[in-house]
Amino acid sequence: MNDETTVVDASAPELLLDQHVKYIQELDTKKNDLEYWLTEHLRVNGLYWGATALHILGHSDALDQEQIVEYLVKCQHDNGGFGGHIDHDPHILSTLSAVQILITYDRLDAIQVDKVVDYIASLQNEDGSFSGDSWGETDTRFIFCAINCLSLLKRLDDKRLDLQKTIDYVVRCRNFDGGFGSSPGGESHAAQVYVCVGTLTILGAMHHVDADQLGWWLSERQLKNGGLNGRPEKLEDVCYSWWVLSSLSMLKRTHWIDAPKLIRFILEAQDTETGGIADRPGNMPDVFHTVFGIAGLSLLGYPGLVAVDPVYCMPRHVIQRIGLTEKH
Amino acid sequence: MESRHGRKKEQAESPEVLKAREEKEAVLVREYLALKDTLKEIVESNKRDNDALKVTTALLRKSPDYYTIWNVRRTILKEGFLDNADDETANKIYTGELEFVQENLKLNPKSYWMWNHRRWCLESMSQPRWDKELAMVGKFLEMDARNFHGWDYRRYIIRQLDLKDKEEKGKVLDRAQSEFDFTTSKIHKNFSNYSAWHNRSTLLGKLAEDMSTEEREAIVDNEFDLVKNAIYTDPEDQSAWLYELWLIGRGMTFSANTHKILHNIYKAQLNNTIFSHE
Repeated sequence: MNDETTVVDASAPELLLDQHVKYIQELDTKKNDLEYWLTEHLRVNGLYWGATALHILGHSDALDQEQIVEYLVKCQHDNGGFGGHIDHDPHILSTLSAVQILITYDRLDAIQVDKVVDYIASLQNEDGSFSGDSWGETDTRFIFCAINCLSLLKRLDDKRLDLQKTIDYVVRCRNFDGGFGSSPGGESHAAQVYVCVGTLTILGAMHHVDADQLGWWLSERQLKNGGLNGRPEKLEDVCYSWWVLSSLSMLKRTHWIDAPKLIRFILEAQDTETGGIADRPGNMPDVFHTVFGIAGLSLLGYPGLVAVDPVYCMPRHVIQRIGLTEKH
Repeated sequence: MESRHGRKKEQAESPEVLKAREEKEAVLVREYLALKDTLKEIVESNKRDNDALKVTTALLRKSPDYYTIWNVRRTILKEGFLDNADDETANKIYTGELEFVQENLKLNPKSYWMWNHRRWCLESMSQPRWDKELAMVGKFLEMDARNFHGWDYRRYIIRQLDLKDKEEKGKVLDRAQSEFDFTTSKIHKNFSNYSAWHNRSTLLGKLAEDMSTEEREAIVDNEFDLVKNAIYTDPEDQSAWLYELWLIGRGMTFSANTHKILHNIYKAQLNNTIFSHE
C-alpha cells in the first residue's frame, strides 16, 4: 500500500474510489448498449483491466472470482491460446490478459498451462519476433505479450525459444531518438517504448538502452496541462500516464516528470457522475483508461492505493508472491 | 483501442430524448445480434459461399475490430473461392477485397485488423500492384499526416519493392531518394510532422552509405538548413530539435564540416533568443 508521503496538490480533485469500484462492477450490465456488443472481442482484456484496477483500488473482492475463472476456462482453445471472448479466435493479446487475471486471483490451476506455453512457443518467428496469432501479424506488442506471459508462467527456459534473437529484434526497433517502434524502422511511440523496455527488462538486456536519452524523450511527453502524450506534437491522453511512467520507472527516472501536475490531470479526467476515467477531461470514461489512470496514480505514489508493478501492470504483492521482483 | 479515444461526453438529455435514443439503440442491438447468430450458424455448418461472405461483410462494416470475423472471412475466401480459382479470377477476388478494405479504412483508419487484411491480400496475390498501394497510402497520409499505421504501411510497401529489386542496387537507392523527397515535402507542409522527421532519419543513413565526402557534406549542410528553418518557424516545436540532436551525433561521422555548421547555427539561435527578448 502506498503511504501518505506523496505530495498531492491540495486543490486537485479527490480520487472517486467508491465510484470507480461501482463503475467497474456495472460494466457487465450494459447489455442494452450497442457498444457492449461491439467491444465483445475485448472482453478478456476488459476483465484484466477491470480486475487490475479493482485490486489497485484495494477492492480485490469486488468481482465474482469463481464466475471469472469459469468464464476464462471457456475462452481457452485446444491449441492453448485464449480468445477475446467465448467462440472468438485465440490471440496473444487475450492470452496474456487471461494469464494475468488467473495469476492475480492465484487460480492458474484452473487451466492447462503447458498448452499455453505450446501456443506461445508456436508464435515465435525466425527473426526472434512473435506473431499475434496464426495469421502472422507481427508487432513489438506481441513480443512483450509473449515474454511477459512466459515470464509469469516461469517458462522462459523453454527449449523451443530463441530469446537472444528476440533481444536482437527489439534492439533493431530502436530509433534515432532512443525510443522504440512497432517494427524495425517504425516511429517511436510511448506504448511501443513500454513493451520494448518491458521485454528488455524481463530478459535482463537493459544495457541496450541509453537511459538518459530515452528518459529525456519520455519526460518530454509531458505537456503544459500536466498530461502526457505518446509522440511529439500529439495530444495528451490518460493511458500514456501508464506507458510513459512505467517506462520511466524501469529506467529509474520517474522523478523526471512533474508528478503533482500529472496526478491532477488524471484526477480531472474522472467522470464525477458515473465513475471511471476518460482519455482526457470532458470525454466518455472507459475501463481501459480507468485502469491505466489508476495504475499511473499508484506508480506516482498516490496515497491509499495498492502498489503496482511497472513491468507487469499487476499488483506488486502478486508479483512478489510469484517471486519475480528481482527482475527490476 | 483507438476507437475508444476522444469521445466527448454528452449533456444530460430530457426523458423523451433519452427514451427515443434507447428505442433506436434496441433496434441496432437486435440487428447486430441477429447477424452474429447467422455467423455462428455459418461457422458451425462450414458454409463457404457468397451468402456466408455477405454476412461477414455486414458484420465487419459494423464492427471492424471483431478480428475473428476477418479470420472467418479469409477462410471462406480461401476454401470457398480461391483454392480452385484461376489466376484471373483470384486476382479479381483480391482486388474486390482491397476495395472493401479501402472503403472501410476511410471510416476507421486506425484499425490494425484492416491494414492486416490488406497485407494478406497483397501477399497472396500473384501480381500485387505495389505502385497503386504507394499512391493509396500517400492519400491516407494527406488526410492524417501522423497516422502511424499509414507510415508503417508505407515502409512495408517500400520493403516489398526493395525485396523484389534486391539485385538492382540503383533502383533501391532511387527509391530511398524518392522516399527522402517525400519526407521533405511533408516537412515543408508542416514542420511539426515528427513522423516525417523520423522516417527521414532512417533514410539518411541509407543514402549516405555510398556517398563521397563532398556529397555527405552537402547533404548534412542541407539537413542543418532544414532544421534551422523549422526552428525559426516554430521554436517551441520538438520535432526539429530532436532531429537536430541526432544529426549532431551522426553529423560527425557524415561530415568534417559539421563543427563549422553547428557553430553558425548556435550563433544564429543565440541571436534569435536575444532578439526575441527585446
